[in-house]
Amino acid sequence: MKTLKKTWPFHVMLLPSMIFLLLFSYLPMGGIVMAFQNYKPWLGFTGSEWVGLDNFRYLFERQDSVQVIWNTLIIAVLKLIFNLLVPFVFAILLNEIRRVKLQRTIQTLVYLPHFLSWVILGGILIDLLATDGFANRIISSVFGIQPIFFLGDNDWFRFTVIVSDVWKEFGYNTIIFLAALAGINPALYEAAEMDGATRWKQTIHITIPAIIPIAAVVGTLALGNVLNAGFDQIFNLYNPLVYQKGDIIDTFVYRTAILNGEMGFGTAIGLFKSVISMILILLAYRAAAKWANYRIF
Amino acid sequence: MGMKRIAAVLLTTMLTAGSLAACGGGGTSSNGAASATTENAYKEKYDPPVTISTVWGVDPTLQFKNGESIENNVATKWAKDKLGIDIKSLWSVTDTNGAFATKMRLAMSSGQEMPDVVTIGDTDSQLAQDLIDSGMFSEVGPLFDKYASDTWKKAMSQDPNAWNPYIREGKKMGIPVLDYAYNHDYVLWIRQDWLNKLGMKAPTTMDELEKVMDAFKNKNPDGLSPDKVVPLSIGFKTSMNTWMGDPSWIFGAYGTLPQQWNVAADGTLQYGSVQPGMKEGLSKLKEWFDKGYIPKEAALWDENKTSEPAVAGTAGIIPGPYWMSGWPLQDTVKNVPDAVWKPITIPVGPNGKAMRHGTSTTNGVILINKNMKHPEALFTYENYMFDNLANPDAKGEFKNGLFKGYDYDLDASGNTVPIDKIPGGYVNSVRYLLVRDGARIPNAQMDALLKLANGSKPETRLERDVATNYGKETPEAAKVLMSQKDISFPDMFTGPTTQSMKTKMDYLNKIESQTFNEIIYGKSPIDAFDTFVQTWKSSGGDDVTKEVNDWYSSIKK
Repeated sequence: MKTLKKTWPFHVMLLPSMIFLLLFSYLPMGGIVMAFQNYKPWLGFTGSEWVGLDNFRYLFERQDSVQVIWNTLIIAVLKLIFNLLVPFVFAILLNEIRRVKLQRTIQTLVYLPHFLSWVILGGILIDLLATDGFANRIISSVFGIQPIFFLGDNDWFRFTVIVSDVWKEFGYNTIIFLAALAGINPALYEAAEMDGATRWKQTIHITIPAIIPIAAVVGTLALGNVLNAGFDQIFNLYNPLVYQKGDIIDTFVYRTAILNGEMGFGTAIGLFKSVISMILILLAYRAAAKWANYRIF
Repeated sequence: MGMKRIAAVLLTTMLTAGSLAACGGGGTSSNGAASATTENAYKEKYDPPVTISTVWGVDPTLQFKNGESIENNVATKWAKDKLGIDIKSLWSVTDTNGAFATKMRLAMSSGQEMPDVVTIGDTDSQLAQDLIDSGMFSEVGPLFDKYASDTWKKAMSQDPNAWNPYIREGKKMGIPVLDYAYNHDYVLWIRQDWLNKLGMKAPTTMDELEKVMDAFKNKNPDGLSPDKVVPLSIGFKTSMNTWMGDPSWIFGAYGTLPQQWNVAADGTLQYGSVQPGMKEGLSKLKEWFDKGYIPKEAALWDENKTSEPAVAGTAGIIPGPYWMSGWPLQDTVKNVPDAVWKPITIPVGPNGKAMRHGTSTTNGVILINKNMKHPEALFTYENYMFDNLANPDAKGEFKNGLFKGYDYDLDASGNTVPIDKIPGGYVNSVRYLLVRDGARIPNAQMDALLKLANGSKPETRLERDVATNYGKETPEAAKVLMSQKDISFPDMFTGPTTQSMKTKMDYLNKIESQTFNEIIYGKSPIDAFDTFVQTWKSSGGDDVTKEVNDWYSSIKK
């Protein structure tokens, strides 16, 4: 009670943001009831017919739903791993460049694709990766093999999607890791040099342990997206030839829920995704706490 | 005493707030008690003026001048002065990313006041169906019969299927917004200069077409190497039944049109993609793919992509609408100066049969609120538009355009000036009108084009418009298009999405595209089609067919 007397101005200052949070993040959660309704906008939440788990049943009754969920998981998990690994290694390599100007230039250049939209990039990739496009001409002149149908071949589609996504996004995470690298105490390196450690040894024993916690944060936060395999990208790149390996939950929701105005069905899938993501985040958080000694709360 | 007073003040405040909120909400519906409609309610001009309330989804490219807005502009002033109709905007929203539909849905679910009249475009057709099902809008059939002018009624009768999407239990619940007919029907555009250099004639059968495509590819008149030529530019990414780069006529040559509902011999509706003709069409497409007649990446190409090789000058033939010489084909000469695109008819199959998909002649729907006090006022407004704007022979105030100084202007001697010479700039003021595009008579545009194609000078407003603003091959293409009027088959199912469609259709479409593309690309044998038909029927296709036919028989009554 005594502390409250002292701290009440802080609580008051906190109040507006708490109200906002309640109003805009928690209150709308009531809309989840749509997942169990045949929702009609003019009847509202109270008037719409209750259908129990019908919306979820539609999702699992489709012959391709397991395949779609599987596609989503595979693409999302591979993206998650490579979007962590590639910037991690790249940041360490970039940090070894001693010429600051060159380092900055490279950093900016790899960051640029992050700002391109998939609508534009999709058009560019379709041309670039065509069977008689730029990429295939290089491949066939270097390796002398048949052109690869990157976007129309089930064996290559996921590869193409993941590589292009990593290429587009790795500059972003690189910046986070570079910031962490800049925060390492230089005294550590100086001491190691005195003890005769090579650059390699310094990297293994100082650099990597120093940025592992940041990697754990980035990884944990990314897990929230484990069922988001990237709607924009897939939607602009996929086609009937690669439905088998490329159709994901979000493209499927777009076609069924958005185009047909089936709000209940869309909410059901959204809820399903949220529950799975929640479980994965909790697991990852436990793992991060245990092995990387990292805690948010 | 002090406490009591404070409590009283608080209570009063709350009550006032409460009653205000009630006013803001559905309060207005209570005083909308329908005033008895007298026999001569319909007037040419209302005095005192009557009010029509509406809501607007404003096209983001629409411009205004003289400080006007969608709520208050030359068209609303005109309606008040000329017809005594006060157009009152409840709200307006710039319609980007479906903002209009979102706002309309929100208004519907939060119980806000609904407009007297609202026009919903075809892009929001699901919203239109939902609004009809909400029960807030009235039956329009009797009103239309009673008040609509002959011009409007005649225009409506040009398409006997126009009302179909808006019929509920035999009642007409919305007035279709008519558009020009045949807008998305297609012809084949062919490089006439290539044909001339090869000394070949325009193909009229599938066999002749193959010979032409082979010559375009292997003996290319412009000296392009065979792997650089796309003899026939088509794409399947979105659908096998679309508008530009459309392959559906290839199946039409074998008696079916994919991804739409066609009338079968017994008068019922059947889904085109599962008919036996598809198999022949698919094996033809596969053959063409193997021979390199169609793009190697056809499965990845959407409509706009198919126009790229055509514009670049490396494609020989592209299917597309009659207006394509205006866009995008007019740019081909920038890349290949002597390129000449000409429209030709759809070639016939081995049995002399040809089919192409047709075009719906409507592009939206007008809904009338149940509580609207003077529904006849809407008809006064639209009748005037049909008689004076849509009617090509009209000599009235709209004979040069809609509003002087807005979408047209006259010079000192009374001739229209080019639209870029209008003082203060051209604005598309037809979009300010209460109903989208004012009023259109479906056949008017084709009639105007045919007249021009036969060598007449442009006389009416519409004729002058198509002559100046459309591509130079457009009248000829219209003639070619209309010479095959009888092979045009629109999708016959235009009703609301049925229950099985909601849950099953996406899967059926998916396996369909997948199977068709895999057959063409040689990843599945041609017999995969038979398996697909089996799966289609057992995975819900039969249910959908039944529901579609239930709907069809309900509107046929």
